[in-house]
Amino acid sequence: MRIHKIMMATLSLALCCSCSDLLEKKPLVNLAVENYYTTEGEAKTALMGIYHVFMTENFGLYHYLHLGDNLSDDSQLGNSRSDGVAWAGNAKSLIQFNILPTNSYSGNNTWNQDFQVVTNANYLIESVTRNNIHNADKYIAEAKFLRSYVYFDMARQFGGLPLVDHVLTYEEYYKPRATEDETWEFIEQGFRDAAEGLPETWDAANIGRATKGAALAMLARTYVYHASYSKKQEDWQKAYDTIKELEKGNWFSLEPRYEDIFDMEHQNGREIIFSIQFRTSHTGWGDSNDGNMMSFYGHDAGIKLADLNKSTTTLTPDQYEFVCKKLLEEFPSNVNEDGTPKPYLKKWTGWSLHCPTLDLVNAFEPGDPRLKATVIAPNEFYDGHTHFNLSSDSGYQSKKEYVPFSYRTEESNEDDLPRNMIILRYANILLYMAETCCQLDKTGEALDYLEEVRGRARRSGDDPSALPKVTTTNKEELLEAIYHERRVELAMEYDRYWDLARTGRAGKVMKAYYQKYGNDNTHQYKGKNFIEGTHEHMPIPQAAITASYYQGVQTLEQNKGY
Amino acid sequence: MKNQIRLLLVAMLMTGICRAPANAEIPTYAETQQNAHTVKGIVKDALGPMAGVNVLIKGTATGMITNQDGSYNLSNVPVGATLEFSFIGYKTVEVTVGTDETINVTLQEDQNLLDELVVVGYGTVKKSDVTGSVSSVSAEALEKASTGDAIQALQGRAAGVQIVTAGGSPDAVAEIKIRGTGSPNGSSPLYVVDGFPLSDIKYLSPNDIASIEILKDASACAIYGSRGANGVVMITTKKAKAGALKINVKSEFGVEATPKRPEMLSSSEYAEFTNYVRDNSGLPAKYGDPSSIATNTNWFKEVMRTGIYQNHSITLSGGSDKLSTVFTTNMFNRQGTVKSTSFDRLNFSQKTQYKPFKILTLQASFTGSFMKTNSLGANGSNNKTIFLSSLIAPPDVPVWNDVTDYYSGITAFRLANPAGVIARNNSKSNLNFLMMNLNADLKITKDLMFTSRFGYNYRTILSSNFTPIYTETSNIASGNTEVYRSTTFSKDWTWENMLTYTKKIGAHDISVMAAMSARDYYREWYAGNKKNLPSEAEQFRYFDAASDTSPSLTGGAEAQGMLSYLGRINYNLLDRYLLTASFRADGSSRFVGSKKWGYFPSGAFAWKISEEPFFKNMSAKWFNMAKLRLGWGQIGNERISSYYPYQTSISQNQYYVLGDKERINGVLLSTLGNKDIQWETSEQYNAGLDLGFLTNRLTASFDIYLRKTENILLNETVPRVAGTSSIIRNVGGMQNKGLEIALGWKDDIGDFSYSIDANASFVKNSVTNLGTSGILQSNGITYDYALIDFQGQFDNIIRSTVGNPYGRFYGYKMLGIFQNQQEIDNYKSPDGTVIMPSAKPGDTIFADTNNDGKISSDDMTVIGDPNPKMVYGLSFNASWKGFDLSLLFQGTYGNDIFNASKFYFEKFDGRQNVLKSAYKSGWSKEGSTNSRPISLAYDSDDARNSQNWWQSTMYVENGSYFRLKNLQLGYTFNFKAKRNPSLRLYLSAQNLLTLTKYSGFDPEISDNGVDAGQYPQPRTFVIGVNINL
Repeated sequence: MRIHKIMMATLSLALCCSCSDLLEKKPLVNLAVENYYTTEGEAKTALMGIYHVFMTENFGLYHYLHLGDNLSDDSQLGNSRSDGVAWAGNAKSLIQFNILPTNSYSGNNTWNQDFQVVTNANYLIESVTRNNIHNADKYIAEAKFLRSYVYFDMARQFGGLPLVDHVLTYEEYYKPRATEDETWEFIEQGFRDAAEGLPETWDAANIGRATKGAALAMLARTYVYHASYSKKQEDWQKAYDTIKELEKGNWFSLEPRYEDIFDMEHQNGREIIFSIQFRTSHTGWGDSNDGNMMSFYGHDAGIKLADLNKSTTTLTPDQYEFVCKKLLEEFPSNVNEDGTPKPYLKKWTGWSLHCPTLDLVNAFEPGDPRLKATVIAPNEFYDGHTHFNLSSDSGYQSKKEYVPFSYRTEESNEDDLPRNMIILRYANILLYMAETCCQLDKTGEALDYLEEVRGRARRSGDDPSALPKVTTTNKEELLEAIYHERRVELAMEYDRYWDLARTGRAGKVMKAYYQKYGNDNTHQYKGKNFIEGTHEHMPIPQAAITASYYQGVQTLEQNKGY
Repeated sequence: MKNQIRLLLVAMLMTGICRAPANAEIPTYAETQQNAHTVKGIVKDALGPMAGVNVLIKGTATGMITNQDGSYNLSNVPVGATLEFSFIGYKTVEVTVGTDETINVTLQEDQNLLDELVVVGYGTVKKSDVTGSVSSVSAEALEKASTGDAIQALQGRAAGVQIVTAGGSPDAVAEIKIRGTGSPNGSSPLYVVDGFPLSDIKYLSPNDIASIEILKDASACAIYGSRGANGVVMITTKKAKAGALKINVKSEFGVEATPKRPEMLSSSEYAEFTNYVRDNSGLPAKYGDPSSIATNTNWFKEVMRTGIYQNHSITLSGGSDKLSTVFTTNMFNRQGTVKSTSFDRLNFSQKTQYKPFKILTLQASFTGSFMKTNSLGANGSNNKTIFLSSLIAPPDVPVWNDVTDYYSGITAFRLANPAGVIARNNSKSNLNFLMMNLNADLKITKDLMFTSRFGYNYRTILSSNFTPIYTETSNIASGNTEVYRSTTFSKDWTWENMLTYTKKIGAHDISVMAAMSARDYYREWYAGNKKNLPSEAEQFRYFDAASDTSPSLTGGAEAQGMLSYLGRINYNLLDRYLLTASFRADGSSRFVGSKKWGYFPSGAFAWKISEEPFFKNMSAKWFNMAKLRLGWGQIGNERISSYYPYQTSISQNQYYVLGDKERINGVLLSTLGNKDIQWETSEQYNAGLDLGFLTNRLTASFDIYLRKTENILLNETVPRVAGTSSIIRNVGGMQNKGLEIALGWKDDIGDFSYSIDANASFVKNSVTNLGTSGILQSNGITYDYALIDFQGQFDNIIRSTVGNPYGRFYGYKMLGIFQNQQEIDNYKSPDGTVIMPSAKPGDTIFADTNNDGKISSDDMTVIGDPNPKMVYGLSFNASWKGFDLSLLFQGTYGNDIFNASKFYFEKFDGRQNVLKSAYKSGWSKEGSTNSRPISLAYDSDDARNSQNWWQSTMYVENGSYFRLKNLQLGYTFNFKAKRNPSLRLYLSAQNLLTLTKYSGFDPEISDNGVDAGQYPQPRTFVIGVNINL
């Protein structure tokens, strides 16, 4: 038996020396939450990753382009000659308010990537706290800004949401939706915290990141939305106080000339509160490059080059001749001897999914210089050539997202463009303030804020008699004037539908639009099936509803009417 | 004193400073025995003198082994002593020594197969004592198949084992599935080669294998714990035999050809058919005079050839009782039936056994295996689809374009010129495999044995590819030269220490085994691509020659450690009641916290009914053996795709832009980890009955089982608040119920002896849980360039739902073809809606299964089941004088095949060639056919044209087949010479005959049952010679 004991002892000895090593293998290659966020540098990359989400197609295309503008009376999908339209079948049902929860344009893409931002922000917040890194507070503040920012987008799109402020356990994935009030309060708390911790300015190398001013401005904007829905004076008062605080900071002011806001050389100018940064990176198509896609979606080359390469063209012979002539006239250096376009020109195509409507064009007062800065008119000579967009029903194109020829290179894709996407600029805050003052019955103050914006527009043009000062002190009339000002000042900047929805005017406006233009295929029956009390919000995506079943019970409630 | 020596040995062994010890004294028999004399003689068997037979004076240690001529010579043998003649596989003969000085003995082969030793996990048992479900396949059976793949050689040989060789690629490796699909995450078993666990055995030459045991039920597999749930294939390689040097030379040479030569349309038929479909679509004719087309390319001939099969090996074996060694080398080569494809394998293996003392046996073995594969890995096509492309390429396109001086482009189709693909193929892969094993057995006491074994496996895979500039079609032009290289290497060691205690006390026979096992695995890889080489010459196909300034480089590594403790008790009462219980605890680095360790118990009971007195007294003497086996156990499945499933991982390169358009690196979470991940667990019950009749001339074995897999890892959809769409969780469940039958008959009629073995397995699979989604689906086809058109057609052909068998086919039900407008108008739902209002005569009628008045994806339903009702094998062996003959039939019954290749081979739209049988087979006028829709041109009415060919019952065919897998006929010459040499000549054929209703090329389809134009297994004819010296 002694032998056995020795044997066993030896055996166990031989085993134990290796066991701890064997069962605790360091994960190789894999970067993971467990081994990341340990330094300030790593925390910064985690923040940049969140900002990266804002550069993706899903971010700009749905919540902003399609819902923010195309759903409204301001802009329209291109017609059947647009490359995008066949592909954008979901967008068509969207603008007719034929919206099913399965429509990926109305929700799924936004929902998915916004919650991606939320989760990444929560991991960042928890990890830098746990690892106690240098300047943790700053990173937490910025993460909270980004988290509240996407919640803001989602709240205006969907209403109440599941509120996630920490890394969830499996059971917590099945959180129900909070009320709208709770959701706005959650967003406000996030921006308040962010404003506490964010710096007032960034050094040159970090321009583009959220600042204290951006947090206060977003906070004010959130209060405006919250107040619009709650209709409570105290919420308007909070908006008022916050804008006052923002003014004290003196971080932002209006560009003297309106069109300079959108000038490629004035990006990140004094009026910009927050914008998504882009550059041309030559790294491929879509999300694999660092460029902006919005111009690609918004525009057409003026002549549909694809048609020239097709054996069977959809153009009439007259149109075809016209297009070829235009091509030769306007771009002789870009046409081969056999009349085919050179590759350089091919890079200059777009899908025309964001075309200004005649209704918008007509909304501008006579002599308003902002119209010229907002649209490219049919046959307008601009950026060295005459524009002509067959895909736009009105013939108009958006100028605000146009990227001039000199910023496009032969090697870059047509969606790899260096124009920033403006999310919030100071004029918007001033108009929010005008609206807020009006709601608080501070009519005089409201008129001052309105005039600040209107005056700048007036000064940007040649006609000092255009855009006369608004003087009405009737609250309703003044509100209408402010709403009108918002429409023309911020036209094609992806905010129109959300403004209509929050102020309760969506139904009235869209039904009127359908009456006026809609019952006709060229206008694609825009606004046809609008239901008040339902379409102010989009449905919770069906995939999210399906995924929410926990032990047989649906935990996410669908919006009313869907 | 003895104990101390042993202790010292143990200590030396454990500390790893084992030196070769000096010879120990073996006690000899007293030489002063009275009446002793010298005994000599010759030991023979049926074939002649036998070398290496043990001759022992019973009860002593005195003895010797016979020489090459079978002779022995023992001095000082006392009269009245008993001489014992023994040899493995033969019945031991005892002869009492009388006055005769010459005792010649003829040994008989042991007919009682049930007393062979069977290798089980961590030990061996007598076959009659096996309590679990184990199938054994001998080297002789393996040799009947002319193949380089040991698993393929098992096909049809064992009940409960389904083996499929998918395709005719020269490096094709058979897939093996034991007792049905147990998990969607992989069904391949664990391989254990001489005690060393491996995940594949491609490196192994079947020539080196002495026997294969397939452990099927839980009581047999649970000893392998977390790795045993899919069954265990135990492989024992050939051991050195003591005795004079034996040489075996085996050489096979053969040819391979595609068995079913498809007949495609000629150019004129193709042109005429094109005009016909264009006419059907209202388009003008494309060819003026179809009969005048000069070019008539036979692409099949351009691509295919007669393949070559070669398999040569040399085995040297010999030595003494103390030191013996075996050396084998094997050269295997297949040049595939597709031009430019080949597989080569060169093996060296050596195993040396050294017994310095009676109590200590040391064994060292080494295997090196060097494999080289040339495949069509890249360049727009691969091995599987080159076959398809060679059939569907249009015949009116010449191979070579004299104007461009390059291969012709196939412009109407997204297809590479098959001859061009072959010509520029340069995809190579080298797999080098080294395996080293050290083994020490120490008999500490009479009853207690200590074994330590260490195995080390090192493998490297070096792959390369080169893409030349080619321009033949706009779709697949490369435009750039590019060189690709990749390297993978892995190291894997396993160290096991085991104590075995066996004791017989009266009627109680106890054996206890306790062991530990440690495993360490590491793998690393890197790969790169670089463009722009100075020329296409082979000498420049290296990175430094390329001028690309932004080459791509990838790489990674993974590691895993495992630690296990295991034990087993075998208890045998009265040689009638056998009880086995085992337990294994596995710890793995892949899991964390409380999930790190998994525990896998098992138990089995066997009752040898025929050993009971009542049975022995039974009058029916023809019924000689009966044994009942019952088993239960829990096993794990370690197939987890991630090495660190508990980690929430982060992906790099999520850039943002700051400041003056500076690009800043960012990161984002990619996959969510789950700290609760653990092994998939399988609980199995088995009941078996073994019967023997007519002194075991007829044997029968039956097994029924229930196999329940729980905790299957699935990517479960979760709400997006989680941050991503899914998380891996242990949620799935699956169940297999089955029956296995094995029957054997063996008899001699004079010089003619023969045997017949048959086996059949029936499995009923059912998915019991798929988590919250309740559905698991997959495309069933990997789309590559040539198959790209499938993409719009077929969507998730394979679908599994709870309560049903795994992986059934899903699609529309085809009801026939609309013969006229009236039929379209009359095809209405119960509420009177016309279901297919836009259809035209000649279109496919689909069933409106949900009665909603329209055809939509909601009408898709189950249209077939690829799981066979029965898998079977039937073998026949006979010998007469020097002749031997063996046949092996195998097949499946009751399974469906989704013949996706019909989409190409039968649907003609004016782009690709089709089978002659499909010539104008589509609907043409009322009453013409009710099974094939009208043929329309691809550029006419796309919607109708593709809609008619949606995934439907039209593609589903009966996949049952019966195949003569191998046939071998041999003749053995025995030479009356000193070393008893022999020479066997044989002819062998593979896949000689297949009976099936399946219309495709080969009914042996890979696991999921979808045939996307699979390149059939070749028919192989081999001539072989086997020389023993």
